[in-house]
Amino acid sequence: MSLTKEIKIGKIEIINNWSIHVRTDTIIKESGVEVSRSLHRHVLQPFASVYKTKEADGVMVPDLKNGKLQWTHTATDISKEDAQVQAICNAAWTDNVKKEFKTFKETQEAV
Amino acid sequence: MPYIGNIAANRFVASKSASVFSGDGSETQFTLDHSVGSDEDILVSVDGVIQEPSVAFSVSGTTLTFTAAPSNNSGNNIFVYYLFRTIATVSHPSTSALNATTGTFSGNLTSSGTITGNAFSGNGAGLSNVGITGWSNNGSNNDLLPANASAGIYLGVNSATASNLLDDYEEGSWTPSLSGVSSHSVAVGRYVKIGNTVTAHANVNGVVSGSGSMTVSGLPFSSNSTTNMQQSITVGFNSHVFYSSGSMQGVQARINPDSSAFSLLRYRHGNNGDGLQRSQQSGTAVTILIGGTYITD
Repeated sequence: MSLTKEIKIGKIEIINNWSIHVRTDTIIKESGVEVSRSLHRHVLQPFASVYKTKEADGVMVPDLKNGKLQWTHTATDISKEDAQVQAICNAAWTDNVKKEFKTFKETQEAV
Repeated sequence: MPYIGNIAANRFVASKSASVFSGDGSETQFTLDHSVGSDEDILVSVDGVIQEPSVAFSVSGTTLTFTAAPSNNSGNNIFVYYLFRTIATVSHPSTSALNATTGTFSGNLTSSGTITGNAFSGNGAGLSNVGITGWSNNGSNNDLLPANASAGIYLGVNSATASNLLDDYEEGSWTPSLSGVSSHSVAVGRYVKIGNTVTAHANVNGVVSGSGSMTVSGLPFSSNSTTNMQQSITVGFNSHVFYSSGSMQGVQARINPDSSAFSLLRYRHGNNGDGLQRSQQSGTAVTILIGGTYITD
């Protein structure tokens, strides 16, 4: 009887063109027969998007420039992701999709 | 005068009406000359004593079995008289359909094909290996298992309506990440997804540095993408958060559409909630416990 542990990508789903849902499965096998499986999830999007804020009278408010929010879109680092995940991200995140993502984020309510 | 054909029979012989055996004091089984259908279909005598059917002996086909071995008195001391013999048995032709209004089976009903019916009932032991098309009982575990991973169950409707299809359930973990924390002391999360509803809980703790608003990222599924569909999740506990900023009374959390992170907001009396700032850490490290449900696509 031998116990082995295997970690593999269980599922990769593309939601709304840019959200990559990744399920990582940890599988425990006893003499080659699976005895347990636990799942871990994370989501990847092309950018981490934030806008600039400033404090005014003790309250954080958007720091507008020419009446507009100042957005910063920092590209998501996928270099440590599984090769399959990287391939899916690179295929899904076309320049057009990235542009759509930025537009989508910038239409969300400001805080 | 010559004739054509078989010679006419001049003697007819009936089959034996009795069998005789010799007991040896140890043998209990004897083979009859004819098959019989029940214990009462034969009359058995041992050493001149009539034996009681089903008590002193039993019979199955041509096998006679005594409860106790007959004695070894010399000669043929066992006599079996055939009262009713099994002439033939009738079986349903294997290639023909069986049609009947009702049926009762004392044993198992086995089919290599499909059993159909309007209703099935049991004695509580349940139906085994029920083959709902595309579903199995996952071997000995008896869990209902679909062959197609996307298969589900329609609830509350009698026609296939997409919004009534329950086709997803999953339990797992996720890793919350508090912005401005380079190394978390604690970052543990669990989730349950039922349909498109995710229930997520987490504990995240770490030393916050830098400036800007605090967010927690790493949600297991991105939120619903409908524009303006902001959702909330409950910050049930927070520790080492500096409250004397403005009129701050608490910490709330908001998930923007199509996001896997939520913003931590300062709840203020008579004011809009704004971003909880990293500079508001008081003490060694911030602890945030969150829990709640949100909707995915």
